[in-house]
Amino acid sequence: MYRPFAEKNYRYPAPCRGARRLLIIAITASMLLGIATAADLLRRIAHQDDGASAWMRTMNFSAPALWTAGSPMRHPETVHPGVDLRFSAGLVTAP
Amino acid sequence: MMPGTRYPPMVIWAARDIQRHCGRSMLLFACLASLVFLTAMALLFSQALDATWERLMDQAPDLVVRRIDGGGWAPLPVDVAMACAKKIPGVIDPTPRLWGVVPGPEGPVTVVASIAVVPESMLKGIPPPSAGQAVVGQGVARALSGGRLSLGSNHSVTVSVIHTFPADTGLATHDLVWMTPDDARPLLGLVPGQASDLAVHLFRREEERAIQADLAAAFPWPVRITDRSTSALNHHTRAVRSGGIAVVAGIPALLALLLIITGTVVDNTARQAYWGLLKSMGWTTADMVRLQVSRAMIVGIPAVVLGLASAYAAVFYPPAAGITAFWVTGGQHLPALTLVSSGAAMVMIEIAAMVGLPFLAAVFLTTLRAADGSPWTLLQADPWN
Repeated sequence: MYRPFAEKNYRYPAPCRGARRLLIIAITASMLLGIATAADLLRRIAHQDDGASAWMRTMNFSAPALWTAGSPMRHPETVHPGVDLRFSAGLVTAP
Repeated sequence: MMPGTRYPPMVIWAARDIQRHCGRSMLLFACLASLVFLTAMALLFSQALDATWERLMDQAPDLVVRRIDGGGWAPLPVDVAMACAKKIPGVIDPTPRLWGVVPGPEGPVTVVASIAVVPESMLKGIPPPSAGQAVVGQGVARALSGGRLSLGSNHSVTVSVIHTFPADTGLATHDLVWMTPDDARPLLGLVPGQASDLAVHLFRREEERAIQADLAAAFPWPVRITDRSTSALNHHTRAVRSGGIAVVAGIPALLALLLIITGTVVDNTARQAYWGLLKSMGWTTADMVRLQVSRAMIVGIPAVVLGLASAYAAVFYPPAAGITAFWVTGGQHLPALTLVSSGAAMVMIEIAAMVGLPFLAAVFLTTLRAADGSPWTLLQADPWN
């Protein structure tokens, strides 16, 4: 039985070489991107926020520094009990 | 599959088919990649925001006790406050905090002074500040001029900056100025023996609501108690709101997915004469389905992977993450945006399945339907007939 792709050291015919190149690019790029993303994900998951967590614990901070200093999200304990932020929506993010 | 690998003929044929319709394939690739990017970016951001807050809020004290009077917040006498707090069963490790928000060179900064000695294992090369010195966060370090930092408006204090907190601690220290208690007190309006407030840890965290009434009654002055779960809930609400933006961004994305699937259906139906030609040369329906699925995978898998990788980079790498945060949060400032990536893998798998599976299903089913029939019937679909 004739099996065109079974010979040793098979060379693709000229019209197929571009297609082979396209396949190599698609597979290599996908694998590289996938492996790079997975590796970065694993690296980050291990001990990503150890430093920040340790300082949070040591200094007894009430909230992380994702918001500017002075804002209620950064310092929730500074919200004055006399000021109900529900009635002044803009104050929630004001420093 | 490395460059030396021999690929199945059907896959090579599919790749050649892509080359024959180069423009259409490129357009499909771009559509799929941008669809995955937009959807994944918004969902990854809200998920990462929630995970970051949850992890860090877990380290926060269970309760914070602040003294209040008719004028607002009042300094807390340390010895009295400590003695009162320790009387309550379940309270462990009450810690007076010296901190406050003071004007800095480029906006407010958080000034802290640690009354207790910071353990050596924490410092990792950071020298503790002495009198007239300070250690600052990355956000404050940018505004420095000549290594000196001037803080406060009425009673300004100038300190020399001896070190900067490492970038990996930015989630806690971005806006921080760490100085000695003696330097901090004039800035915060405190005298020796006073603290800004009292951080309280509980033996059982579940008791943080129940214990508040007893704790408040133990102090000889009115106090306001803030609990950790309320702050955590506020943060969670913010993250959910960002997730809401993700849903809004997902509506046009779903429409785009429908358009892509419709385009695939129309394309496959329009090629019936081509299927008839292949069938008359001996191809089976299964061969044609394999060809189309291979073709869809050669375009679809790199597009989905590229979209996911771009979204991941846009959320978790600080320069790009700032732009993403600006876009998703509507310009609200999130200074130290190095988000925690736990749970990101699951979101990425969900997005890949959400976009990839309907696309592949559309290709499979429409090819099966379009190519199923006798060659003569299929050839009749040629517009020339």
